[in-house]
Amino acid sequence: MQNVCHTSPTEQIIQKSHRIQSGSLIPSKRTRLVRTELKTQYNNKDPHVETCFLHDTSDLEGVNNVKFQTQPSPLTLRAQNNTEDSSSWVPQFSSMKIDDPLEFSSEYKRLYSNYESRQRQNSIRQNLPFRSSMVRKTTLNYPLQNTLQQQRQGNRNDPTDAFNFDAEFHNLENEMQEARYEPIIQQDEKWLDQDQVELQKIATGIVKCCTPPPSSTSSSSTLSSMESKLSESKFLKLMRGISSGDVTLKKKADGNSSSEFFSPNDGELVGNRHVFISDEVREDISN
Amino acid sequence: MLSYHMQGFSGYGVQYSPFFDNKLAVAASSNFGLVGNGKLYILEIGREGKIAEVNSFLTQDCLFDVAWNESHENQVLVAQGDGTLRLFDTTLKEFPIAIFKEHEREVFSCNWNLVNRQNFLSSSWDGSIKIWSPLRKQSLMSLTPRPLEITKMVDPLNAILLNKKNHTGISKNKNCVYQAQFSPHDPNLVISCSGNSYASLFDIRLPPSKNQNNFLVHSGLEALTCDFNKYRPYVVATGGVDNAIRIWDIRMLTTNGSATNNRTTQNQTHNPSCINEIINAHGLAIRKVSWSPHHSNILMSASYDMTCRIWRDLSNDGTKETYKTNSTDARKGSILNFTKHSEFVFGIDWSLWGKPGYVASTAWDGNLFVWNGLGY
Repeated sequence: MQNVCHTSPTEQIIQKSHRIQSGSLIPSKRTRLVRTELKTQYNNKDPHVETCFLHDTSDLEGVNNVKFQTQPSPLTLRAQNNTEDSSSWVPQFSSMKIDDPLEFSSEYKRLYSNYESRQRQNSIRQNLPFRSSMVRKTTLNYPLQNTLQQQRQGNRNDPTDAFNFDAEFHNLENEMQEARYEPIIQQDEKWLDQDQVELQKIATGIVKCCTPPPSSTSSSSTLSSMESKLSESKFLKLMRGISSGDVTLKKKADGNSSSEFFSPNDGELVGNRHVFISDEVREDISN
Repeated sequence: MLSYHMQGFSGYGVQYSPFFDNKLAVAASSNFGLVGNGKLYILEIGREGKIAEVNSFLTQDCLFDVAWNESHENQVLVAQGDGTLRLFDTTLKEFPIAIFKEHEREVFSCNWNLVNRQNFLSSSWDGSIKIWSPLRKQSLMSLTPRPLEITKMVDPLNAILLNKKNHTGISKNKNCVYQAQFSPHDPNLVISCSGNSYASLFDIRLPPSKNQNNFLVHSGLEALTCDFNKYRPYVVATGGVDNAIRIWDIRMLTTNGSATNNRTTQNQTHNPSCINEIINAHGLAIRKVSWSPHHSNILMSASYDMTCRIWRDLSNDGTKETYKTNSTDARKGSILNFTKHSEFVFGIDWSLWGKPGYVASTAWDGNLFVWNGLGY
């Protein structure tokens, strides 16, 4: 009926565009125009989602659906409260026993608390390989960190994910992990003396120099052959070990560097053992 | 192709004996030459085509180069990481017969004078070249390439270095004289190349104030290797970190172009004495170049890209200048690409004996390969 009343073509276009946007529940100042579609969609999807969320708590997918689809955005609520027909939402909320539209029900909080604890367990499990193996593996986390940062940025830019607790929780968890790792690295590096740090820097430079960028595409077979040889090079493997701190110069009791490499992790010799050769000169020269 | 593996050691230098067609000396280092012992291998190629170790000498520090005594068939000189040179008698065991200690840092190259056969030289990371007699413990002469002193003043070089932001090593290695060689034609001529990208030509008969001529050879990046042509006394080849091989006519070096007497100008980067160049000869820096002892226009190169290549210098057809460069050829004059090594290739040498074209190469993979570089 309302559609019929709006004769302006502009409003009709806006109405159509909002119909498209309503798929992602983007709130709008013109909520009044799209409330019918919203209501229809909500009524269509809500029973299933609500059932998943309230009655099947083990179904994480259902919980995610609740977050994305039925979690009322404050903006949406505010807009709805300002509309003349906001009363149509009241039965929905009252059935969920929500007194304050900006506050979640105690049941929802309890369910979310369960969900949150489950997610925490999951995230710890996922991070176990990094945590248990080596502290220095934090370097391996950099790509992961970037991905998360990108994700985080994306979440902030997208209003539909304003309540993406899952991603936010992972972000916080990762930040905490990083904070936990960093002091240990610094503590480790204190044990390296000037020679060892210098060697580590040189090794890092060599590894950077000899590692082809991941996006590089070799145009010739010679280049690709060289890259495959470099990836299998024992020398570069040693350099990577020194760069990561898994291998370093062995020190003598007097603090001087000895002529051997060792692994600080297990104390084992890496490479060849050094044999002392005295500076003797033979006198019995043949003619 | 023949091969020999040096278990636990990386090859740095190899040279065929000038007296025996089947003998080779290899300088090797443990832990890729970073720390640890060195080892001199004396190898023989047997009649059945197998390479066998006939003697070896373990040394206190890494070995970086080797040179046979041109006047004694059993003596081999090695350049060692502790700043010493050691002369070994291959018929004896364990210890050297002489130690020459004056350099303050690693000795990277050694070369015996092919003309007078009475003295040898060494070049070191301490920035000096020393000329020695096997009969004296002290060096006969010490040469210092002058650009090492004036590099800071040379504005064009600094500008070049600033443009090469990806390459940060040169400031640390600019004093390093990576290689020096006597001319095979004149016992008094020495050429060297340094980390400051210069090659230096010395006439050791002249007083120190005017005994050298320096020229920028590798665009501000380290010049790692140089070699005199065995047939054309005025032609030298250089290789460096810019992956290029350049061929120079030292007759065209002028005092105006020299950094010795005149501050370097922008024009020096377009030095007219460069008569040919092979741009991107290898995928990574070129560690060694060596002219053929049998052909005036064929040379070999070894590189950090783990290959050795044989090249034809297209600026000369073997009898006269052609006025061409290798860039005019689709294959840039490449004759053969040897890819059997699996680590950086550091040492190469042409066999003086038998059918022309046989070469030996050694690399950080611990292998010594003997192969036919010309394939005919």
